Amino acid sequence: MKKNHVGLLSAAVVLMGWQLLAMAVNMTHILPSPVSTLVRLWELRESLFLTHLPATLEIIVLGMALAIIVGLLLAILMDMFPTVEAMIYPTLVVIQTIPVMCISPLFVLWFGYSLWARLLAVVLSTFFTITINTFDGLKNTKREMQELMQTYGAGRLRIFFKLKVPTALPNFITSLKITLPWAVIGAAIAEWLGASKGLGYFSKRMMTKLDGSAVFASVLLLSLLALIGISLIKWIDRKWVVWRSEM
Amino acid sequence: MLAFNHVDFTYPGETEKILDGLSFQVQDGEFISILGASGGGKSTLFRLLNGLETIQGGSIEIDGKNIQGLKHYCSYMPQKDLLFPWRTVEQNVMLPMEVAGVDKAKRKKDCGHMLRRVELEEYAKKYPRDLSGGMRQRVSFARTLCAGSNLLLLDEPFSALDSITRINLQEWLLRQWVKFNRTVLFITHDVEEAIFLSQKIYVITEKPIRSVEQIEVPLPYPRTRDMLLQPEIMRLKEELIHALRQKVEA
Ligand SMILES: Nc1ncnc2c1ncn2[C@@H]1O[C@H](COP(=O)(O)OP(=O)(O)O)[C@@H](O)[C@H]1O
Ligand SMILES: [Mg+2]
Repeated sequence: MKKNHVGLLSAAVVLMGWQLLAMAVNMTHILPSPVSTLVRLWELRESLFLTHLPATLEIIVLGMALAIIVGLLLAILMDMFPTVEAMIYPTLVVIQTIPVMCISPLFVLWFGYSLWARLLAVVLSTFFTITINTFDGLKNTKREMQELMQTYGAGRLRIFFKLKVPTALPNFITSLKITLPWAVIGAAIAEWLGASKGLGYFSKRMMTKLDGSAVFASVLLLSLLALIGISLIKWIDRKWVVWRSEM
Repeated sequence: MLAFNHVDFTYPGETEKILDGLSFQVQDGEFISILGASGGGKSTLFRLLNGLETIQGGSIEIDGKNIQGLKHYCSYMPQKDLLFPWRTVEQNVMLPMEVAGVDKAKRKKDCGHMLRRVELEEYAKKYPRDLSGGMRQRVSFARTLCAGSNLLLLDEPFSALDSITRINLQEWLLRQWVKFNRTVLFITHDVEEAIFLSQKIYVITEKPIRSVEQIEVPLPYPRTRDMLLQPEIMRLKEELIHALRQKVEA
């Protein structure tokens, strides 16, 4: 049996167990069953897919884009200037341990119910990991290769683009794979705290209405978002970063 | 002509001298092996020639000009092939020309020419991982030729290869040398390799290096491996091994 088949089989067993348990408990607002979740997803499809999903997707995409820009910039600066590394690396490691969930209310305090507050939650959940992974990737550059480039007369800029960027690319992609689920969680939490649409906001509203199936429906969509995103990154990785195993 | 004039060198931050007043010369078109035990400072000679390290005393000159004011005067081939795994064979070979700002059409043309010369033209679009160790070294050699200078610095290029591939590449390199008419400095710690390949052997037996012992190899070109069995050559081989061994024991 292939690995995929085992995975599918165990997922099916879990789903079935869950369905049976939910039917036994028989309290949809506390433990919705997979079937009732799907039914609710279908019933609420219009607002979920046309309003809330796009809103959350927007925050994730914009937030990740911002995080990538900031992360790459910091990584490059740290790689270029050892003093910058000494200054910010320790800080980054400390800040990374702060759970975004705990400080997100602050963002609402600072920015109100604006897009910025939500973006900040996504950026803060992801950019540290992107920075540190990419920085490590840049540091992986083989000294011998760099010296070879120097013997060809290459300056820092050439060495950066022709050697360092390709060397660091696998690490950068890995950091995207790691942080994408965090971005999804960050976005959902931020919407939970302060938004008027989005899957996080939606699940909170359904919670107050004790509609457990609808809460699960939005959670299902959030997980699907993360899964699809990761598959996309993996596909890019396989197609473009064929040298990963040789670094 | 290449000349080392009373060159002193110590790695920055180290106390142990590597070169101490070393002088020697290499004429244009010569094939010279630099023979010495590991850790003796052979690679350091190339790092100085390359400009990767700076000498503390004396001068290194090419045709009477100090290398500090020169560019693209030597092409260096490292021991490991150091091919970039994200580049195809062709793109790897073109790298030195890219850095030197050669335009695309000429890069393509020269690269095709070079790959034909190393007999790898059908691998142009392949990646280094698709090639055997010997082929990778040939690509690395083609890349070195593309750096365009007349002085080739080859640092133990075959030492990581299995013995048959190695012998094949030695013969191959000699055929290349006859064709391209460039000066070759070839570092090796293998006595037989030095004898088979070169016109002259510069032997390093002391540390720090104060001088090199220059030994002519009394064999004509083209060479064949059975020439290595001549009594005179066997004796030379023994002498060289003896000289190197003394150094190790000292
Ligand atoms: N970058 C460096 N910094 C300090 N010492 C070095 C460096 N590279 C080589 N050495 C030292 O210089 C000596 C000669 O090294 P090397 O030129 O590589 O010898 P070889 O190529 O003959 O094996 C060795 O003792 C080595 O430890
Ligand atoms: Mg060496």
